Amino acid sequence: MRRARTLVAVVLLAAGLGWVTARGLSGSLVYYQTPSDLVAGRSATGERLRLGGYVLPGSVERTGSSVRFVVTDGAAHTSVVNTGGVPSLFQAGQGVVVEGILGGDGAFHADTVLVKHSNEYRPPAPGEVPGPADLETGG
Amino acid sequence: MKRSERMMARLTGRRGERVLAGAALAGLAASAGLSLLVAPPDAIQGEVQRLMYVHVPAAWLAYLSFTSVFVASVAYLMTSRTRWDRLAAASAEVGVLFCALTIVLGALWGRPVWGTWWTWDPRLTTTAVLLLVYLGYLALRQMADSPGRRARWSAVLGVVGFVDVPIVHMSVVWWRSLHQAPTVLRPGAPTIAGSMLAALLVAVAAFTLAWAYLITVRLRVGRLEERAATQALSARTGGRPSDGQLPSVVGVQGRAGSDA
Repeated sequence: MRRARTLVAVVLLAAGLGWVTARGLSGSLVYYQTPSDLVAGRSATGERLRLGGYVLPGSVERTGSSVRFVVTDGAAHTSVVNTGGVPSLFQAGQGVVVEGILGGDGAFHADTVLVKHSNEYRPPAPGEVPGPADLETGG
Repeated sequence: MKRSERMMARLTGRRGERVLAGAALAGLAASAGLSLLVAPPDAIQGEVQRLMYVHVPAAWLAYLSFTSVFVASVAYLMTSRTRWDRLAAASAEVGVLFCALTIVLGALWGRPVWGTWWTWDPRLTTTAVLLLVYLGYLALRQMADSPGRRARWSAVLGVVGFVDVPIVHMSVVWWRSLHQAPTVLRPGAPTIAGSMLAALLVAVAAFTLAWAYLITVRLRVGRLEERAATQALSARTGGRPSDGQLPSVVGVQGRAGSDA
C-alpha cells in the first residue's frame, strides 16, 4: 500500500515536471523568429537574434565576400545581408537559420548562416551528381 | 585457482552470451556493408548522409536504454527486487554511452551539412539535458551509502528522468528547430527511399542485438559484484551479513582482492 502510494507520487511528480518543462519551453525557448514575427515587431532592432525561413528563389546576390538574399516564410519577407560565408548546401529554396542583428534599415545583418535540411532522403536521379554543387563561397 | 576466477570462467563461457555476440557481430558487419557499399548516397547531401546509419541507431539505443531504466525502476518500486535495480543500472550505463555517441555523431554530421558542430536548438538542448540527467543518475548510484537506499533513490530518478525522452523525440515537432523532423517514426509514410530505409532498419536491428549483448554482460558483472560484496562481508565479519544488507560495491572490490 505504501509502495503503491510512493509510486503514484513519483509518477505525478514526473508528469508535473514534464508538463512544466514542455509548457515552459514552448513559451520561452524560441530558437528562431520568422519574417512574420519581425513584421509584427516582436523583436527589437539591434538585439542579437536568429531568423528562420526559406531562401526566396532568385533573391541570392553574391558581391565580393558578402551574400544578400531574402528569407521568406510564405507570408512575409526579410532581406538578409550576410558577411560570414555560407555552408555548401546553401541554395535558393533552401531552409536556413541566420544569426545576427536586425538593423534600423529593416535588413537583417547576419554573420552566421545555418542550413536546415529537410527530412527527405533519396538516391540521385540518373545523371545527377550527388551532394552539394561545389560552390563554397567562403567568407 | 581462486573461487571467483573459477566462477568467472564458467560464466563467460555461457552459450547464450556467445550466440548473442556472434549475432551482433554478423549484424554489424552486414549493416556496414549495406550502409557503405549498397545504399546510394543522398542526392542533396552526398556521401556524408551515410552517417545516418550510425547516428540514428545510436539515438534509438539511447531511447531504448532509458525506456528500460524506466520500466525496471517502476518494477523495482513495486517489487523491491534487486534484479530490477541491476537492470536499471546496466541500462543507464549503456544508455549514457549511446546518448553521448549520438551527440558526437550528430556533431560530425552537422558540421558539413548545417554549417555548425553545435547549436542550442530544442532537439540538441533537450538531448544534452538527457545525457546530464543520466550522468546524474550514475553519480547518484555512487553516492548512496546502502544498496537498498541506492536502489530506491535511483529508481525514483529513473522514473522522473524518463520524462525527457518523449520531449527529445517530439522537440522537432513541437518547437522551431534546426534539426529536421522525424523521417521514420512519424505519422504517415517514411520520407526516405526504400533502399536507404532497408539499410537503416538493418543497422537498427544490428545495434539492438549489440545492445542486448552489452546489457547481458553488464547484468552478469552486476551479479558477480554483488556476490563478491557478500563474500567479502562474510569473510570480514566471520559469518553472514548481520542485517541482510550488502555493503557498497565500490568499497568491497579492493577488499575482495586483498583477502583472496
